[in-house]
Amino acid sequence: MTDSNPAPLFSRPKRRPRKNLTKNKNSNLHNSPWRKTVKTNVKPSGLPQVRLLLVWGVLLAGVLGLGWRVYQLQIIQAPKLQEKARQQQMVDLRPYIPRRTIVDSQNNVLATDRLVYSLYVHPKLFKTPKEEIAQKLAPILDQRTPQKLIEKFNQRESGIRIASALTEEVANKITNLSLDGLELIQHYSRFYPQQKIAADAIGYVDQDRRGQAGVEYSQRQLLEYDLLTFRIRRAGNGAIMPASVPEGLLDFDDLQLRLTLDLRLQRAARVALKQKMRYYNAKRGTVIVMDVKDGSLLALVCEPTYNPNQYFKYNIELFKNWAVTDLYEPGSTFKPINVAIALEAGVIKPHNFFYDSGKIKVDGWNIYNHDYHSRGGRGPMSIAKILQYSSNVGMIQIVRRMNKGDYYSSLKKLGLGESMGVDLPGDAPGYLKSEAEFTVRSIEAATASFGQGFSLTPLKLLQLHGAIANGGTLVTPHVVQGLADLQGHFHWQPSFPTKKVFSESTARAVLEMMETVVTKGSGKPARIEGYRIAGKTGTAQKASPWGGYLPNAKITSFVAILPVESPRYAVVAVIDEPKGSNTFGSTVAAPIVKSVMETLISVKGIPPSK
Amino acid sequence: MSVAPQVDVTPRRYHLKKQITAPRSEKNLRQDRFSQNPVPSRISSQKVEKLSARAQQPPIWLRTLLLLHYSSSVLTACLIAAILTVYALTVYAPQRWSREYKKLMNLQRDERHLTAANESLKNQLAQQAERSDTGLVNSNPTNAIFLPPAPVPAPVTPLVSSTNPTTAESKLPVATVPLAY
Repeated sequence: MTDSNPAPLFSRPKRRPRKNLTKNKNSNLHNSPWRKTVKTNVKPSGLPQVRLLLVWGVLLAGVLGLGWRVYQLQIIQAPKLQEKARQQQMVDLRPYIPRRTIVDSQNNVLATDRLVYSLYVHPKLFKTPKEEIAQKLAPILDQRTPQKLIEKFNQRESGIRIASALTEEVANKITNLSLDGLELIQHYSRFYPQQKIAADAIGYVDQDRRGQAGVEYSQRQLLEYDLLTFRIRRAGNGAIMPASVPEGLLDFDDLQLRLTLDLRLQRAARVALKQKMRYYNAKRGTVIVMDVKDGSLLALVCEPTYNPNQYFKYNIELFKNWAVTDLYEPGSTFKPINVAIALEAGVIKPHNFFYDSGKIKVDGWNIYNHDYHSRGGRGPMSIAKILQYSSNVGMIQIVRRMNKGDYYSSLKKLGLGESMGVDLPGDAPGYLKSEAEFTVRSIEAATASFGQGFSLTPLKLLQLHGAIANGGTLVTPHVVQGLADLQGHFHWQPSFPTKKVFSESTARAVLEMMETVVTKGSGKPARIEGYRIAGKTGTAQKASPWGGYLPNAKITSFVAILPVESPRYAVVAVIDEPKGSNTFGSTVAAPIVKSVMETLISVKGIPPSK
Repeated sequence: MSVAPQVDVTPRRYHLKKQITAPRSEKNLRQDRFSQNPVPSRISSQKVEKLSARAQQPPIWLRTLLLLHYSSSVLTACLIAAILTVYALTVYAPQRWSREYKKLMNLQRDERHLTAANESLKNQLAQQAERSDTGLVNSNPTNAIFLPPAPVPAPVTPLVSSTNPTTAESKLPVATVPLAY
């Protein structure tokens, strides 16, 4: 029979004879039925007992010592040690969170981030002489002669920044030189691939990645992610310990800021504008295309403009978008608005006739038609004809029928003295004289009837014509369509207020009168075969800062609405100070609008009306 | 633990000292007798009885303790295995995470490169197209063809003529538009 009792798991090696430690001979163990041998009393010797106790005592002392050390480390020195550990292990991680990309309505990228390198030199680490290094670097960094580089090297012993925005190819070439003392630091910088085309709308960011103009400035809350700093633990070899990574490290979404601009239209508008401006040697110009249904701007072009990739090379005046910030006196382009105001007030009817005498005297001032000296008065004219020939006298007759105070409050209702709420920076409210000044004499209302004596921005004029086009609602022009993800779904869209200012019938009547301007009147250069277009020309004298008007400075403009049977788009072109003799809205601005409309028709696929 | 059967059957070892008087050669003999049929012992003072099977079992408290010991040993072994596995994971998972993180950073950087390059190319192409020597013109309405939407063809109906029963053809359905496949 095998051993029926289980062998003990832990057995001590036999070092010396074991003692019988039980003194009690009557214990159960000895008297159990399976143990029948009787022990004799063996007296244990004194020395081994003490040694056992000694061992036990030593071990106990060790345990106590450890316990005390644990207490000392965990409780007494804990804060200090924790601090030390934190310093060694934790690291502040600032993951690169890019600025949001800006795209146009067709998903072309207008602004994005790009990796660029800065080159720093530390002359104290140079192994080869400075001249040699300068010789090798100069051809790679073009625009630097070796002499200039050597001068720079002599400035300091370390940390001289030689170049700041090097592309990756250049950086690779520098790395391949394998020279000591050159350091390339990479960072992200904003890149505008379309360069000058959409600069007026987008704006630029400065060296600290802060938006300074355009959408980059006005929508900076949307474009910037929060600057997050994470405390992360690093292992000994520098790798991040993911257990300590808090939520949200990789959490940034890839939403893009989508603008309403259409790059094709923007390009076409810019080309047409630049061509005419060069021909007439104009000071500046602007073309704006707006969708009258909701106010989204399809094209916003200002000339001259700048390249936002190199904003530092340009005059600071170019950074503002003068279509939004600068006021001008609209001139004859405001006449349809006045007609709409008069129709809305009920003082005239669309079929009324007015007598055009060619010149008229108001409050001691003589006011002439622009072609009075060649053509004289034209006699009784319908309102459409007044617009076609752009007769100032006819407009005065129309506006005269209204109460001056009523006329003023209608102008105010259109928001002439307020800003529009555009989502571009520098939105300027128009200028309108005070009510007292306006109503005290008739001359103010008379000049306002043909668009002089008050001022507004080109965008405001477009907004007012948009109200005529869409049946009487003032919509807010805007550039931002919303935040969209890569599939095109919008996660956020802005909402803009609208205001009803005319009735549908009024707007329709004025639109049809404006159509005759293009078919029969001064807007003939803007005709397009097969399409019904409504428009109005404007040639205004520029106000002089010392009062009165400058004799030879004109500002020409043209507004068009397309197509008339169901109006959708409004286009305005304003050219400031074209030089030459034959400079009118019809000759300078209308052809620009015509070519923009042709591109608009092709891009949007507007079918012909006839 | 030596293979030879020992007297020690409890966790405490009992070393019999009093058998000094017995001849040493008989020590083993004596222990053999424990497992065999009882043989009268040479030492008169001793009396060896056969162990009954029942009595050979350890007492209950001892049994439970042993069972506890055994099960806790098994549990400890499993836990050790689990600990080793988890430790391996704690080493492997962060390594993997770091690799994937690096990959993610690289991919994001590449995506940005590609976007920038693509858009610059588009811009360059557009600028080249604008130049007049390339022979490209702006699209304008004179170049465009507008097609009116085609009217949906009326469903084919069979010709039923009730006025002229003599013509046989009128009884058959005649298609007015050819069916094209």
